[in-house]
Amino acid sequence: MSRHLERVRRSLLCIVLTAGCFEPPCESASEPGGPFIPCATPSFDAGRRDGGIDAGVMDAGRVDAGRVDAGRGDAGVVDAGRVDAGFDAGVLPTSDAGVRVVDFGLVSGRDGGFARDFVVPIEPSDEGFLIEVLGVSPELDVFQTTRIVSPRGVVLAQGRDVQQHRTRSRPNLRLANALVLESDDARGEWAPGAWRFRVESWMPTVDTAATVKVYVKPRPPPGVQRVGLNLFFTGSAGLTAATAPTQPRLVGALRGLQAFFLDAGIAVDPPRLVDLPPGFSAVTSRIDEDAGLPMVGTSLEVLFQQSRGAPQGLNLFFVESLELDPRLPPGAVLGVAGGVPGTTMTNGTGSSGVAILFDEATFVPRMGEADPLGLVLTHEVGHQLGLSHVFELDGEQDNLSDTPRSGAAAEANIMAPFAAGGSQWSPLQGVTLRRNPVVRP
Amino acid sequence: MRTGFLLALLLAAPAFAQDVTPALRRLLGAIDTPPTRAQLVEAGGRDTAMTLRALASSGREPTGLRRAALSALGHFDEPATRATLAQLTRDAAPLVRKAAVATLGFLVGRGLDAALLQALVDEAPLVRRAAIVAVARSPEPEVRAALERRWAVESDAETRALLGQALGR
Repeated sequence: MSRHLERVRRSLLCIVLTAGCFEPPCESASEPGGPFIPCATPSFDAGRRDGGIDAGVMDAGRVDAGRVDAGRGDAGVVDAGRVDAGFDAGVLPTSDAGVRVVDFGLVSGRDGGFARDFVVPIEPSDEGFLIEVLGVSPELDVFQTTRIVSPRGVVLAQGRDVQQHRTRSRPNLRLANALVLESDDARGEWAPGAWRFRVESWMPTVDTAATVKVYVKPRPPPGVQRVGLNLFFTGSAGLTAATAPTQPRLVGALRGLQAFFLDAGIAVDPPRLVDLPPGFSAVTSRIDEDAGLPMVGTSLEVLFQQSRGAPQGLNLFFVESLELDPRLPPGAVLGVAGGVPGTTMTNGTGSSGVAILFDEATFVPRMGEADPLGLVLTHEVGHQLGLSHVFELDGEQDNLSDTPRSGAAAEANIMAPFAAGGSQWSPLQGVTLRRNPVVRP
Repeated sequence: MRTGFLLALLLAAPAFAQDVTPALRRLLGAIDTPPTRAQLVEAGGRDTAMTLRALASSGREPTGLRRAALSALGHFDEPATRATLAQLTRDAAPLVRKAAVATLGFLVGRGLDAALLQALVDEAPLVRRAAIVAVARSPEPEVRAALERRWAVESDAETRALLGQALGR
């Protein structure tokens, strides 16, 4: 408890202090007498261009406190021994927050594994869960969790149109995540018992497979929760682990991030700082695929895979160029999240992070405008934890009942799509953020 | 006479930036949902391209807004746009030069543009890096030769990494 209070105290101090916001860089972590800070050591395999299919082996048999092996009878193909998951196991959730892992193991589309119900046992003391589907084949398959059904038989998500979902489940390339309940419109359906869902592969003719896990979050005690933070630097605009603690723009932006999240009842831990090797400053595509031309720069998914081995927390990558679609003009994206939500519970996947454009070391205000970097950071982390834009230009709206839809109030929301000075969460946005299992009491 | 008039118009262009509609200014502030051409035209009217060129060229505007305008110009491939972009690859602000190089590279595609080759030797590494990304898609021998020349002298580690990728090393 005292450790928790100390973390909260340090985060509060971050708002007014600078140096205290950072964990010591790894280089100094083992100084005599100094505290040991686990050094995030991503796999520095900068030349890797294999679409993220690391032949890593996840030991499905490892002992995790609270782990529920729901595979038998429900999950179809489960190799109780080893599972070629395609990703390092990374840092699986520790048991201190009581998050339970329901591990369905490897599911193959070939034997109809995607056509069955996955069942998640929910206790009265739980408050939500995160479904994580990670494709393990190099094919560009699209996954989506669908037919999420409450114990009362109410369907909260069905099909590909997320607008019809009371809990949105978005399709994504090679992996998919869904936060239940993402929406408080569906809160009335929350009940203990057997929750069910299915996994849909959009390319059933492709022989794809995926690992399926569910992270069940128990209802935390009242009070501020916390989340870890890993910052990855590519050298963009001279920003490195060594310069970060005194880089004015970054320090200011992190103050903003921490203050905004504290408003939502979440204390952001002092960040761990990691330098990536050369070759990651320019993101030139979203996914890794052979376009027949020399691949210059990196893909977003390979960038995020560099979080492999990092301690659990939110992974923020600072880059100099952020081009996601070669058909669109470059330079218009200030930040991007791995997903809505992203993969927050397993590091090293193609959606285990948030990328932020940092191509200017100094911000010179003109016409009185404020540096949007802190808002951009907060906004993208909001996506990563499960929040949608409060509105879109095409008329789409989020799934929460208390967010403003238009006008000045909507523009003032952090999840407005424009950097127009957003500074507020709605209460239900705060609830959704805190529901993500990466956020811990 | 006509050339002089056009030049005067070009020089006067930055003054038009103040005429940017609030809707267009708001659209250019998008965080992660780049505006489409249709949205830009709806917000900026029929002179949107000219307004964006003026905005991109205006030293009085915030750099971030100029960058967004430069990106949006990628939707308006016109001779005047390419001329503006080529000119802005020599702007005083490295960030503007970088954005101009990126958009010009997008419009040129697999073609060749002298301004992009010149940007390979820009004093700012971030501009050189943007230029490498921009020209790497071109199969032209001149591009390969320019990249090889830069490879021989480039000392910045990150820029060398991109050069190595472009040259297949």
